[in-house]
Amino acid sequence: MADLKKLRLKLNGTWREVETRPDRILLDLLREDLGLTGTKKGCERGECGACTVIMNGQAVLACLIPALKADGAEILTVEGMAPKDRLHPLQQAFWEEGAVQCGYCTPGMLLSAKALLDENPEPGVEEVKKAISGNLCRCTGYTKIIAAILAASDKMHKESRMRPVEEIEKEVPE
Amino acid sequence: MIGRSVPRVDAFGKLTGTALYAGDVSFPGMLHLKILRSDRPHAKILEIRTEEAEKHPGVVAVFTSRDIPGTNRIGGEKKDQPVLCDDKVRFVGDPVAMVAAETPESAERAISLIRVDYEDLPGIFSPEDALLPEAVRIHETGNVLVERTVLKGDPDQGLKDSEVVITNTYRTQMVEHAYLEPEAGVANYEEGRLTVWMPSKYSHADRAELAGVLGVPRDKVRIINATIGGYFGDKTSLSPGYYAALASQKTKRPSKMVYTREESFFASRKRHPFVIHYTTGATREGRILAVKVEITADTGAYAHSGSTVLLKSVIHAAGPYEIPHVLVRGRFVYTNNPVSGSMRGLGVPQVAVAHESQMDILAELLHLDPFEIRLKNGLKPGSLTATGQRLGESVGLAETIQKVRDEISRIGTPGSSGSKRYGWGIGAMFYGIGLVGRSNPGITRIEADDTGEFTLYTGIGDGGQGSSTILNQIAAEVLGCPTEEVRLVAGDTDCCPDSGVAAGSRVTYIVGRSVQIAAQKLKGLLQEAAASLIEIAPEDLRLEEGFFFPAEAPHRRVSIAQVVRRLKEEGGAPIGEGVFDPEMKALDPRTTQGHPVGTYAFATQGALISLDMDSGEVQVLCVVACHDVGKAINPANVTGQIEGAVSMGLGYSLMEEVLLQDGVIRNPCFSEYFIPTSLDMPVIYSHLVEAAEASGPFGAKGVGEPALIPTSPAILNAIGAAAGIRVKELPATPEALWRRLISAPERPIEEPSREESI
Repeated sequence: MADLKKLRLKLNGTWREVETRPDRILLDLLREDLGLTGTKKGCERGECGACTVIMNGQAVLACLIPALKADGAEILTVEGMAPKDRLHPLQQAFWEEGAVQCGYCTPGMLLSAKALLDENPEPGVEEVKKAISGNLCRCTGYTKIIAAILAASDKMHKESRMRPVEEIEKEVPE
Repeated sequence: MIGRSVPRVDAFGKLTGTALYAGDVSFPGMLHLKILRSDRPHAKILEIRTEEAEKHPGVVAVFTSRDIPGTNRIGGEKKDQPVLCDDKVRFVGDPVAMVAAETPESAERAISLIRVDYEDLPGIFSPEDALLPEAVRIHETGNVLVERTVLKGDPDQGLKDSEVVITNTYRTQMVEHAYLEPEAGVANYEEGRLTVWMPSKYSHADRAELAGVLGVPRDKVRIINATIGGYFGDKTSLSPGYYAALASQKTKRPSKMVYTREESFFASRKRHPFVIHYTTGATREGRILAVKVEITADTGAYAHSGSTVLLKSVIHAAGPYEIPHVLVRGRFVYTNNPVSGSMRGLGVPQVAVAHESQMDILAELLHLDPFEIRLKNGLKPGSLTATGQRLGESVGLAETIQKVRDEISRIGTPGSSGSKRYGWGIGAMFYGIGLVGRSNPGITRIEADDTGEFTLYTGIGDGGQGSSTILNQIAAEVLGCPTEEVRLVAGDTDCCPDSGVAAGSRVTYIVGRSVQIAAQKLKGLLQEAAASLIEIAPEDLRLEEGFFFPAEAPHRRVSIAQVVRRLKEEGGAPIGEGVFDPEMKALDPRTTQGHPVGTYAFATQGALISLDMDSGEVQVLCVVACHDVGKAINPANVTGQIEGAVSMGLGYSLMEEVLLQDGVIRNPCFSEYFIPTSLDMPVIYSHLVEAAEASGPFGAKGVGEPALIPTSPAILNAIGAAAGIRVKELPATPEALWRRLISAPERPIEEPSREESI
């Protein structure tokens, strides 16, 4: 077995140092080495989107990225979307709109949605559909997921017009 | 509480990544398991050599059939499936040996070191071949798993009396459940007992089955339902939890098995592919006099739920219509293909494709409106079904047809543009709620504690359909409290009563009713204690927001907490138990008649599609879904079921198919087996009809499977309406439609013909 390698990454807002095997993929680094099982494994071939995380601002599939490529990277997983016992507006909207059924696609869906809203705070329906088109869901027919993302976008946009950005960032550290 | 879209009780953990699915459970020092699966469709096992694998670094144990302490034949209906094959293998993917190792990599490498000597047997890959007299027997009992008949009236005479008779053959394909969570299981052996974390749609049955495999009494096995990443009818019987338990029992170490997606494709159960010969006879006015249906299905290598699926399909094959003369004959046949099992709808989506296509073909032939012909023949309160069941009051079919008709005329149909043609199609259905023709009680228990909170215990693990929320709402409604004050313990065999299986859309109707009864019993006990506390007659008390009070004097209120303490002081137990088993009568083996379920759900869906005449590409643009659910306990949850089912039905009609070559799955991944994405989804308008079912909780029936059944027929009929192409073989892929479009223009429908029998 190959020797362990050390890498540093900013995970959910905190710099972490971790040792891992060079044959690890990012998904297993998160799930096995770091114990963050919120990121789901659905196919390990980049086909289902369940393992979507945000890496350096981009939604990526953690099953396709060698763990060592995370060295120096900034990574956001579902566990880091909101402080403990709180919900990010996207999570809140998913809950209120009934966008969660079995929940297995949910973390990946949330992060694809967040990457979209970070880039395009007021997307239209077609843009939302496109942004989550790589995230498979077998339960919901996507309808309530799309509604939730649009609702979250509305709410976040309204709030950002009303309140200083710094205040919101404090509430929802990313 | 009832009729309100309460947010799901289990969503917080799923949204924050803290919910633990079986694959998320781990223990220090845990072993990892891999299975060696057969690469032969049908072969005798001569010898299995495991020495090399045993010597491989990191390997702790290698298992073959000889290492199974108990029974090596399992199955919910017929015990014909080995946990690890002994005499022979019957499909590509049949488990042959297992390795337990310190790491997944070591286990993976070790299984490649196992040598199996096979003697190949002829493979049988279609029911037709399996039924040939000279066909080799896949099981000693022969190649027919089960046959069922439903007979009502005199179908031959009915066809003779008909002015129009049409006969068509429909073929439906094998499809994958494709839940997003691949199967996983973790087992831990402690002090002589095994605890297994696994997703299960019926943990009590899995406990019984697993105890048999392990050769231990049931009380030595505890199954805890992990968070379930979707089941859609699967996730019971042979699964990673069984293997983890075997390994943990032998090694005394925690053990874990997680299927890869590819392994899940090979090992999981499928939707039965059907061949349906369907003859319908009617008068010129469109009154259906007789149907004759012959169903042959490929059940694959093992029985699994084949008998249940066949029974459901023959009971529903005549569709939601009152037809005087009916003959349905069905048989399920073993092959060396992957195992088909129970999948959302249990054989009814298949027969609905046939009966709804027949309705449209007939309507077109007789120049009748598709709504009209359905209304003319549709089941009504008091109608007799094909099995002779007299329906009660809860029959909302006509309202669903009417609503879809109104909505479609409101929305309208776009005129053709360029190469695109547009069309609406409809599909109607009825669906018997629960298991058919057998007792299937739901049992639940509710306890109150002296903090005033309630705990509801049910054997049902929520597979994503929202059962936990629905059951909570029912309890909260009766007990006059918010859902947050009802804690739920679900799917833990050590403390939950056996609520039966999460199948047949039975959870709301049957288990929900048992919750209502349990909560009413508990409320009665508390009311008595409250009455003695306030010194007033129990019937004068009201319960609201956690307090009992006299209707006349709300200030003299006492809290649930106080009442529970009083009840205990008086020697009472603050526990309510409920059981509900709908009234039914199994089909009489001689007459084939009976009333197999307590109630039926009804629905109609309309689909608007565009068909590109140059490419064969279909886009589903809009679906109008109208469902008679009895009562929507949680409307958002009901529409969530409908929307998810529309996507599954869309995939079923247009894109999904497990492709087999000599029993080998050629597309075991999502880049080759397509399920709908967000870009494939139409706009969906859901409408609910609430024809209350007196025996259901607050009138509720069910929706999980009914939501799926009409979607495919509606889409197929829309293709017929748009371009005059009658699809009789699923899926209607662009390629299949393109081939139809480029061939000589077809007559839209067959001329009236007469056939005497099928």
